[in-house]
Amino acid sequence: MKWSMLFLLTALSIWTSYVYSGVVGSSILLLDPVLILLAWFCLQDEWPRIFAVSAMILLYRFSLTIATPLEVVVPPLALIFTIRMLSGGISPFHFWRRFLIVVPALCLSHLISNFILFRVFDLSIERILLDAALAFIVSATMFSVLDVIRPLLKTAKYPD
Amino acid sequence: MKRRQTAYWAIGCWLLLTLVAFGLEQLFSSPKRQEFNRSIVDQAIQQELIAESEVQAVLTRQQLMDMWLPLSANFTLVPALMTPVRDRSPLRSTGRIDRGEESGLTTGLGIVSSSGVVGRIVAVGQGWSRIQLADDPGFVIPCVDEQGHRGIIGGASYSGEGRIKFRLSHLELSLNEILTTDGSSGVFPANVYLGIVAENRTPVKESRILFPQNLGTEKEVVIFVPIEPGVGR
Repeated sequence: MKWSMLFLLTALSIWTSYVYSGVVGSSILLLDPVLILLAWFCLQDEWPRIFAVSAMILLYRFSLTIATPLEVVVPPLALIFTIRMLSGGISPFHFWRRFLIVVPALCLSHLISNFILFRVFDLSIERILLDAALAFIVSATMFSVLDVIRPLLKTAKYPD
Repeated sequence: MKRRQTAYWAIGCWLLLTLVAFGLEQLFSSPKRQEFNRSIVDQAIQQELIAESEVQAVLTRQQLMDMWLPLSANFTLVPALMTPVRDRSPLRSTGRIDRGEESGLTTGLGIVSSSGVVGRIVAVGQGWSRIQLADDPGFVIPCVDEQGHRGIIGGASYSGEGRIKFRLSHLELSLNEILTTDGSSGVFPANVYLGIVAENRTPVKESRILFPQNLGTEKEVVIFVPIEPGVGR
């Protein structure tokens, strides 16, 4: 049940990413539902499940693509590493404080993706603020849905 | 039990929101995309007259070959049918053609349509080749403006658009200026239409360049295969 739900959630996020990439254009690198789902798992879940979700995402993104392994692997890895690192200082169980972990991680992952794809490292204040605001809005929306789904993932310890 | 039901409801709502995105895509789509969608409907109608379109395809292919023949002094022309393919990486722009190794195709060869540059081959197999369209972020090619100034153009993060990546000389773009290939890469001959400047900005790297229209639609294309072995690989 837990693993099938994990697979369902990953598949759903991949599909959402596929569909919304046509709507949001290049912002999909920042607002990718797949990365937000991975961030949600990274916050408090167990490593086997993080690996399982990462493996499913990478397997999907590696197949039938012209993308380089670097641009597929590095952004999720940066996201996982940043979240796990920041979780040491900020509580990932707090409803609002967890966004202080997720938003910087998503922004960093976006910066890295942009650099790999376009060789652009845009560190202007307005760009960072806009990215942070967008990342917060979308992750807050998705997290609220994922939090409701959490009873179906029994081992996860998410905030009540 | 109630929490579980709520969870299933949440999954259902998520599914619904994803389905809504199909409708949203139409709302947010640019006039160019709407034109592209309209062209798909037109194509569907046209497919009812299969016999006629087959004759037309042969004719188009021949016209296309005749069109590019004057520029193909160092190239052999291989005709093919290009079909756009949505890549699994969200920002990549790719397509597929119905010719492969059996026609002497290799990776790196340039592809054009009647409108101009389409892209480049990135993978080859028996009877198929995967192509990187010109608006893919990884696509880069030397270009020249109307004054003869050179630069390197690449795909942007927006569909059908490109950006200047590097200036090789004093490239200063003006509105509606036409950019063409300079032939130095060995992939395309010189003077192949690349795109038009839709918005000129400073710095020049911020200028918007529109690639040939309907880049991602099914069409007849021609592949430039260099006569001298090793060129363009």
